[in-house]
Amino acid sequence: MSVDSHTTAGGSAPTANVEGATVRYKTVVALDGVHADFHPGTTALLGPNGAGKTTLLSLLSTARQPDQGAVSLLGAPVRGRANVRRVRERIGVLPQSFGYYPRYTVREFVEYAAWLRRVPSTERAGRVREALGLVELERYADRRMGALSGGMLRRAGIAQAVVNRPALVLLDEPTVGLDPAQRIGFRTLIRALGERSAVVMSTHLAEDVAQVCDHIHVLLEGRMRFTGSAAELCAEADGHDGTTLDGSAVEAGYLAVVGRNGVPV
Amino acid sequence: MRRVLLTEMRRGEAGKVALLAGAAGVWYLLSADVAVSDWIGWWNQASIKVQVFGVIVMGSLMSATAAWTAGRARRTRVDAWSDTAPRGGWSQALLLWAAAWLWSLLVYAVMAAVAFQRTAAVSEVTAPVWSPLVLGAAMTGLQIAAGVCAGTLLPSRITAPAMGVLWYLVFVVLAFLPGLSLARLFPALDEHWDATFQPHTARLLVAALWCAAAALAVLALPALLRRPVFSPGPLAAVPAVLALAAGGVLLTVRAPVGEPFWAVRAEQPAAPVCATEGRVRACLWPDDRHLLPQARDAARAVDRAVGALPGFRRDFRQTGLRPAGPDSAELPVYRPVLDSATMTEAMLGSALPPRPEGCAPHMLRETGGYPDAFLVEAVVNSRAKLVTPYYGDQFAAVLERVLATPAADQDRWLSAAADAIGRCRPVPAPPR
Amino acid sequence: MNPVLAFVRSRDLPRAAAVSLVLALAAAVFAGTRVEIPDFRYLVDYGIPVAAVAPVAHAIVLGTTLHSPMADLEHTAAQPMALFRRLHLLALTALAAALSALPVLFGLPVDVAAASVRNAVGYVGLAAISARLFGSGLAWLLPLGTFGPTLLLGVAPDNTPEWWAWSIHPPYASGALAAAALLWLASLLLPPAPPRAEDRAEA
Repeated sequence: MSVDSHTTAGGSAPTANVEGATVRYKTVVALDGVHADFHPGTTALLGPNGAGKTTLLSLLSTARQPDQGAVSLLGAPVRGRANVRRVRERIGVLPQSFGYYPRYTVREFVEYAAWLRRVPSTERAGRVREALGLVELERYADRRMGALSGGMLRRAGIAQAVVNRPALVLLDEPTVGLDPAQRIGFRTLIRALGERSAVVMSTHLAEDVAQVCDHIHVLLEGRMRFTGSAAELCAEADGHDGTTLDGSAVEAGYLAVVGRNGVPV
Repeated sequence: MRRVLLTEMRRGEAGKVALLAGAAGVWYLLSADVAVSDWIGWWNQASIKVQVFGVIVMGSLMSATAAWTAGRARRTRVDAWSDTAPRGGWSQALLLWAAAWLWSLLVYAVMAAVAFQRTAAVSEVTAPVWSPLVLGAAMTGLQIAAGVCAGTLLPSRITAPAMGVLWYLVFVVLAFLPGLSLARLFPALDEHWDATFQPHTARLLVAALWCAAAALAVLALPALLRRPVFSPGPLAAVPAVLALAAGGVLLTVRAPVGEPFWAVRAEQPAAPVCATEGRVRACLWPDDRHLLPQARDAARAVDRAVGALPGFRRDFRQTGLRPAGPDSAELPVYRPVLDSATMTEAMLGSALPPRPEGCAPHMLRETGGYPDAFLVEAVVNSRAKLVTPYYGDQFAAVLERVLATPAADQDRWLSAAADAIGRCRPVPAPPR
Repeated sequence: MNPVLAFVRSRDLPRAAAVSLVLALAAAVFAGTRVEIPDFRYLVDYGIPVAAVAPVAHAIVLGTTLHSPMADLEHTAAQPMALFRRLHLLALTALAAALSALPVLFGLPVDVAAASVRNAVGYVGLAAISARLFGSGLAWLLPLGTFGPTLLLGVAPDNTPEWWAWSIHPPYASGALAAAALLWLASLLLPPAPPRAEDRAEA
């Protein structure tokens, strides 16, 4: 089956679908029969450390295959070299801590990512410019990666993740280490990305979720314990008034889900 | 501190590399063939073998690994906080060094146990020799310290392998310059100590002290050179002073001319162990008593071949033993394990009187122009039923002819030949 | 920027090649100078150290380029990275072999150069296997770990190389050629591994 480029544009078909995925690391079960759909818009993956968020993202990025279950991305199963390659052309990934060659300039770094994602050479320069523009790094395009601050590095990371205009963007803890002003800027950026792609981001920061995310999945000890909107998560908390939708409300809802499932926080 | 050290030992790369080097070492020690080995059966040599493998192979690899581990802080970008920690740089370097050194000591001990176990299976005395092992362990410590120092100061990908290559290079270059005193500061003893020699314990221990003190001093260097790190206190001067003193002693002490630096002649035993068969007597160093059965067989064969012949020597003393008289012959034993035939060959080779100094060999045209002593040796060896080397058809024909003559004629010729060789004269014409 | 150039730069290949070139020139100088060599572990043939030492040095230096600082991003790339990794290995082997043969121009006997090229192929393979097994940072481990025992123990007292010391076997010994070829092929065929945590944490 080939990747259907139309499935991501909208409609009911999920951009990514995980069916009963189980992943084991030796004796540890990182994901235990997880089912999840990821639609256009921004989806948050919430959960404590070790809940399986990064493992789920690694399935969605095709970095690994589940031991049991199946993953479909952009309408195609993640199987077969040709399919995986086509899928990879249309996803963007920002790992939690990504490596880079410090002597590359920002432009060279994003260009290299564009090549990795098989952006046609004729379009590459334009796409790099566009990606740098999106993260407001054009002014720093010729600065060495090794000379960037933490916030600029994250933005360069985002730029490489979107340089191929992906239908699915996977962000692992994208706002970690950013100052409050940078985080606000990032939220705007992620919201913008969510309007054109399906964005899945793992995070611990309830405020980011409240501000940015359309859908929320809560993973606890390798199992999917909640799927719904931010408002629905807030409603999980006792005494929620049904109108407030901020970080505290999301946090309260999240803690209610955690508490209900008997997971120590 | 102990827990942190154990964690570093468990999680660092040193353990893996030490085990890899140890596996190679144990395989090498276990796969050595007793029959041709130059160490299985001699405690000195067993110790030397473990030491030289430990220093040249394991030490170089561990030094490279230590350099790699020491560069970790920079690679993983944690140097910003590790450099500004209240625990000083010397202390941090000591931790990395100790973790790698303890691993190498563990593997070193296993290799020593294997080598000694193999030696104990051959030797009839139990006399493990420790001082070369102590020096090897200390030298490994110095190599690892140099690795930690280099890896901290130059945390590049090439530093680690460069350290390994550098150590190999040092040992090769020093092997090319055997007289260089500086080599004593980087000891990798690759010497052949048979029973004649004993380790010079004092020098070996001074060298071990140099290595250990220099290792501690070298570990203080990165903390002295890198500004953000807490410098070591005056305590760091202690190993530096000790290293200077011990190193100075090593460089200034001289061994007597012609004598090795790291060994001394063993004292003459009160009573060498001897085998007497007929008119032949062979005496060995007590540590080589395991060779007595072979010495007995050889003495019997020599007695049968030349025992009754005047001019041949019948009293054999292993190299290094004081001769019993002017007619005593030196019995060379190059390996700790010899079979009876090899021992017989060695004895027969010494049974002929030596040529006087400056005496050129006399060529025998009849055999094809070979030295006349060759024919005498060939006849003697054939009478002892040993295989003789092939020197061509002409030589073989003469040998066959001599052996076909009556025994009395052979005896007469051999006695006269032995006498002639001892006086630097041509041997008489072989019998027909 | 040309992607091939980007790939090459990201692995610091130009620097490694320059260092290797310096080593090759040093080997060339050594090859042109007859030096008196003492009896070091029975290695009396001066040609053997050149053929044994230079390729291992090239493999170690060029092996540093097996590390990719962007291994994480490359792991999910749409490009056929396994193919590029193999091409990279092929290029390293060609470079190491060419640099190992360079001293021929300065008087190294062709036989010794042939052994040198064979050893370069084998040692580059060994470096790639080491990188795969222990992480790219330890690519030097197996080449260096086999080189020491080869120099120290690889020659038997009868002055013949031990069976396992393939790199000091005569230039056209079939066993040594097979060993070098096998090591190289094994490195080429080893399945790629996900980026290691150590590599991921690196700058």
